[in-house]
Amino acid sequence: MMTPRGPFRLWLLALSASLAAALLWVISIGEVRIPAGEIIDVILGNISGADPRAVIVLSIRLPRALAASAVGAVLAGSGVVFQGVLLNPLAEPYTLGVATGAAFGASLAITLRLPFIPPFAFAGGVAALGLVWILGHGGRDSSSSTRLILAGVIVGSVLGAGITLIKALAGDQVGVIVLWLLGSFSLSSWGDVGWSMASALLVLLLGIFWARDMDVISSGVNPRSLGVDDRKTVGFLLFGCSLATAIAVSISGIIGFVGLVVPHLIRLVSGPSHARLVPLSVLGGALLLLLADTAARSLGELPVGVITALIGGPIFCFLLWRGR
Amino acid sequence: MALLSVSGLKVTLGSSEVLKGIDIDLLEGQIVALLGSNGSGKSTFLAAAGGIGRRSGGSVYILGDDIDSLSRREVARRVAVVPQQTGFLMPFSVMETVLMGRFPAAGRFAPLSREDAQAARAALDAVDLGSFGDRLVTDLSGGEAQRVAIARALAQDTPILLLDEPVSALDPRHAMAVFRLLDSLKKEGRGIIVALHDINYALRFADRIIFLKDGLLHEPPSPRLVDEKLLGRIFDTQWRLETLSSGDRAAFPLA
Repeated sequence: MMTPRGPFRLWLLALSASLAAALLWVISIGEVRIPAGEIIDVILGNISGADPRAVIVLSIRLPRALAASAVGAVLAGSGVVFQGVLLNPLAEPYTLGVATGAAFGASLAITLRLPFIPPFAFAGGVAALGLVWILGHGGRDSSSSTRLILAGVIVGSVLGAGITLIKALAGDQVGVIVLWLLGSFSLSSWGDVGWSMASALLVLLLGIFWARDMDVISSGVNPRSLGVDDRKTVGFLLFGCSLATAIAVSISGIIGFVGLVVPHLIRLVSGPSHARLVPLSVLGGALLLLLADTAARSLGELPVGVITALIGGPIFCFLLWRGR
Repeated sequence: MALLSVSGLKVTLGSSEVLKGIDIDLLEGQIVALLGSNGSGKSTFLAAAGGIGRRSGGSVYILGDDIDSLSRREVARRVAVVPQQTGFLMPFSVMETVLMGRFPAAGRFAPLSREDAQAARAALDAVDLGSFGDRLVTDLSGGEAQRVAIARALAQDTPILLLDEPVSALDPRHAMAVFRLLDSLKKEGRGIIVALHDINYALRFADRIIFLKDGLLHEPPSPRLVDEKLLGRIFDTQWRLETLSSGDRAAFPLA
């Protein structure tokens, strides 16, 4: 199969421009229409903060749009990293049980009324990944690749059952957990924006600075022969991306398919080189989740995971069919 | 000083001791041919000596430094290993793949330079794949893929090259070209160990021929002293060795 490769810079520009345009559009639509020009005036401070338009933009729509974009960037970027270092096209935070593990940790923290949710989400995510790794990692052949996803599915199911159990035992906290797990950006605060942006930046920097190592690992050569300490590098990258995913999950709940579909779509135009794949996927993930969240919002606040599954499922089916 | 100095190298895989104490010094400007039956430990030896495989005991010194004291990156600046199986997974282009050979020297953050690109192109030319830069490695034939792996090692530009059956998938013309290439690398002062199955390439191109059998290394004092009896003992089969009119020697397994 020949992979067509567009010029990288053109794609970078096109995706960045699309993301900027989508941000403006998404913020402008809703019960109250706010034209793009006025959005920019609000952001630049030309419209007083007391103006209702400013309140809508700054307190509701902008943080929501930014948080959705940043979480999308985290999921897609982590998907690239997981797929690259685990040599597994199906690896992403969701299929590896990282997202479910994070949700489990968060549910536990909510039930026990602990003041901090993200550290528990992180611990849950990393513990799930560790377990999946131990169960599923048998070497570098394709069967171990399948084992890893199998382990991810099993660990994910067990943790999912655990979450249901926690909900049953949670008493009056069950509402908080359910709301959290559904995954919604409707209540995104600027704090969420800060955290999600920071995790997106983390994934982007890891992806760019370790692009060569991931190229070497994913090429199929013994990475050590090209100077890559694979154990250290893989562990480090998985840990970093699990951290970012856990933060994202504690903001948005579990959202599937973004981390799976975006990297595969981007690969069609970027090829497997991570120096191109990572930035484009981060932008593509941001764009996809931003639009998915807008669709969720327009359809009466559906869980955004429903939209990503509805969009992502068919795309993934197409990719599977195309790759036969 | 030896480029590569291996002493007392032991490797245990599972419950079997594959290598039971190997000593060898690889000097500048040498091609050492490594032969032995299937499963005799040739690949295990090359991987351990190149720092990419398991080592249960003994020491490996590279350019005078203990391999355990060097970072992986530093080892890869000194030793290039061409694996027996290329195992290309992702559809990187041939050029991208060969450029990976430049990563150890380039470091993590420095962009690849024009010299890197030139070195990669030269390496591709050297294996007769000059026009293959944009092809995808996943689309190549076995022999082409093997030559890409050799080119990647050439691009590493290391003083030591360890090659594991580098011509097993090559047609005779390209196999001969690879040996002529190794010969010219040796004349630049590099040290090369090449695992082989065909004793005739070893007789023709190697400065030293070493044999692995039962976990131990056997080396005749000179390749000229490789005879039918020695080959018979190593490979458990009968051989005929003949001297051709050119003066080269050729060996044939008989039974």
